[in-house]
Amino acid sequence: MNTPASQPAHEVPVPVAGFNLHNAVFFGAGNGLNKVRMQVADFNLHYGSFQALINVGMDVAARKITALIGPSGCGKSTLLRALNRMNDLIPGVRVSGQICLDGEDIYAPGVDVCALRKKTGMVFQRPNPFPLSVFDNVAFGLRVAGERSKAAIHETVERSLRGAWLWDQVRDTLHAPALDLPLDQQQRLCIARLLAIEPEVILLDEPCSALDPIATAKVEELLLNLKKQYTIVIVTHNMQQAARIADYTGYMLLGEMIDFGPTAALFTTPTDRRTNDYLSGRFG
Amino acid sequence: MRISPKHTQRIAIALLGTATGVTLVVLLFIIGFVLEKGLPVVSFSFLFSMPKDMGRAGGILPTLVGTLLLPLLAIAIALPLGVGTAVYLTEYTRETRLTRIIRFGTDCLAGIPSIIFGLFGFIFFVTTLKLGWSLLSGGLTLAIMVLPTIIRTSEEAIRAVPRAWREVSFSLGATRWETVTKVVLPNALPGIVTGVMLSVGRSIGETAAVIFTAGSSLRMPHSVFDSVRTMAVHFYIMAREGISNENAYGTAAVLVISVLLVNTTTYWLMENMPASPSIKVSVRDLKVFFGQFQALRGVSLDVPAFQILGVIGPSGSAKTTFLRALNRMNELTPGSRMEGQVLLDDEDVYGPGCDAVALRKRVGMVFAMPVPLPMSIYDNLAYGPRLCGIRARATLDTLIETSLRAAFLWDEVKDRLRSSGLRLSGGQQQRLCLARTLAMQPELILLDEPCSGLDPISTARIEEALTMLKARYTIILVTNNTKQAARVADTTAFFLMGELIEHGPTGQIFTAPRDQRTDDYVTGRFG
Repeated sequence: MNTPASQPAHEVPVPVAGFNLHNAVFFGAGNGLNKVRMQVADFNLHYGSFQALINVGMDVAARKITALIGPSGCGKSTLLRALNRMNDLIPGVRVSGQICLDGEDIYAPGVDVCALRKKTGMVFQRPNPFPLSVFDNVAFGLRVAGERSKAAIHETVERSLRGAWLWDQVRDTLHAPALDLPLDQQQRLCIARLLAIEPEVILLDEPCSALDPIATAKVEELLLNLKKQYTIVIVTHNMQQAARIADYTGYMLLGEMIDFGPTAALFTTPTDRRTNDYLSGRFG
Repeated sequence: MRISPKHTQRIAIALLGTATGVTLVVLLFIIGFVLEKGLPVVSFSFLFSMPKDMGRAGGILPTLVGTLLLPLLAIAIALPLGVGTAVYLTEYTRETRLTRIIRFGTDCLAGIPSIIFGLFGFIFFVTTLKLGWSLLSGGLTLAIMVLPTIIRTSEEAIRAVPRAWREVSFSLGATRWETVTKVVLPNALPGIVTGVMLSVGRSIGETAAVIFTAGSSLRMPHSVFDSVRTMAVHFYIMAREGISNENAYGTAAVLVISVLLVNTTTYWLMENMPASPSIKVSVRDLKVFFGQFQALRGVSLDVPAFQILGVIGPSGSAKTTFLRALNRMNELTPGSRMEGQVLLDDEDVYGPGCDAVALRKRVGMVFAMPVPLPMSIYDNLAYGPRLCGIRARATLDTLIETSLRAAFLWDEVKDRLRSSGLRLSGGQQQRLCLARTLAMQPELILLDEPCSGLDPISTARIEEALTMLKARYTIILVTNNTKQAARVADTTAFFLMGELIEHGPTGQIFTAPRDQRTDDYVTGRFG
């Protein structure tokens, strides 16, 4: 194995500093406008003997879009899934370090994982509506949360579908099977399903990889609109997408956070040569 | 003397046909015989009146009630136990020695003859627990007997529910239990119901296990502690003790019809199961030889429907041979020979009933070098459908437009459909070939390094098309570009020297391969 996993943890060099909670310069700490919503500090994650994340640190600013880019297998999806503890579902996963949501460690003992996941909702790579009607898909989270009032469910479903810019397309076919929708509408339905549980942070794992350019543009526009209310973290293999929509971008390579900062700065004057190589297409 | 393969083939078909015929005749004879002897006795009063004189006269009402109640009770006991076990095995535990022991145990239980269950029920429920010959003892015994069926069918049905739905449910804040009750079980229901119906069918016809435990009283049961007689037991007693052959046949006819009804319902349910992600292609121990040289060394893998399988490996690792085995293209190479099975929708593509030409219409193929036929774009696309007998202009037009759109080529060529396909750029030619394959409306698309001759932008176009296409097609993509597999494939298979080294979810193959050789290849250490 040539992975850093074979090294004892204390010998792993701490990645480029300057962007984690020790030094929240980018967010203008203190002025209250760019509040830090989630903080990742010295976070390590192992799948069995394979170390997928190595001393990762980053700050997620409230009501901003943070993008994670990097070649396949660099750990960007793993990091995303660490933010709402979806990795817990995989056998043999171990973590160390800290991830805080509003200052509270989400890996602390006694944390209610279900409540955490309600606060940090996730949209997956492929649109994956349940084989239910459009309405029931959106109402799913509410019903799980115990909401029984029909009027309340109706209202939330409509608001969520409007929020995902899908209401006009499906208002007359709310009880048709969700799987009959075109792919991009299915993906926006998945976003609506998420909005219904009123998350605070939205995590998106390559949400546009199954969509064509037009549908992608629509989803991107939607995300720009959603960031007025929500904190968004998006994993993408499409650098242009990161450049178009993200306020902050992190570049990952082989499990390390190589570079992190405001998107414009990262794309124009990357601090690390490897970032520069990747952005200019020399590998990836 | 050696009989020529052609003759052995004929003889084999004849023998197999005879075997099927004999089975069918015997089956029809038995059913016909029972119905012919029994049906004249069956009437409304036969079904719904009490027996008289030990069953010599009168009807069979109590046995009808017994036959109805006993399986019902058995299912009522076995269903929660069986589904609970299946849920526990699939959702709450990881594959360990314990789960394997449980599975082995249920499999053994399924193979035990029913008379053993009868004896066990007699000793344990009837004697030890002092339940006596009763509906309850019989129900408990039958419940144990059908438990393995219910566990295994439920387990299969639960496993078939896509993992993605579970993930979504968890990500929406559902607990494991809520996920099981709201997502997993509703979608596994048709499979579970099938298991229940199979169990009902088995319990209705059961004699040995019932006679020891539920007794053979001909009175109407008033509680679960009363003894009952089922139709099967009634028939057995009447025939063996020579009480009344007519009534015995009458009972048998009713029994046969009930079992047929239950089985028909089961088949109907199975046919009407909602389409869940199923296995489209299943390859079993596939070996391909070219003369003395063994190119493929026993490959087994499954390709789920509506997914992309990426096949990677260095040159000469038999990726293409594997691909060409799936639509029987290897047969066109003289001296090639294959062993093993390739199942497309559970149908053996090398089976005697499968026509290679018809197969290749269901399985489209795109080659490494774009090969447009030397005719117009339109005719290139219309070529396949015309071979299938589609002549109507309007049908062809729509088919061609949708195919071109799906291959992301429509906008570039819509104004020059009549110009030659050879005048397109390389990337467009390849998308034309993809569109031509789509125009055949195949179910499975095989791509042999479709992007090897293309620039990155055309490659991106093809990849985009592929990710869109998998909503409707199952795709197998052979590629020399591991990054391409990482980008588009759902599962990836790594071949080396004719062997399948590793097959798994793409993410796992590229991030946490189980085999050192896979690791070396995907990290670029060789290849």
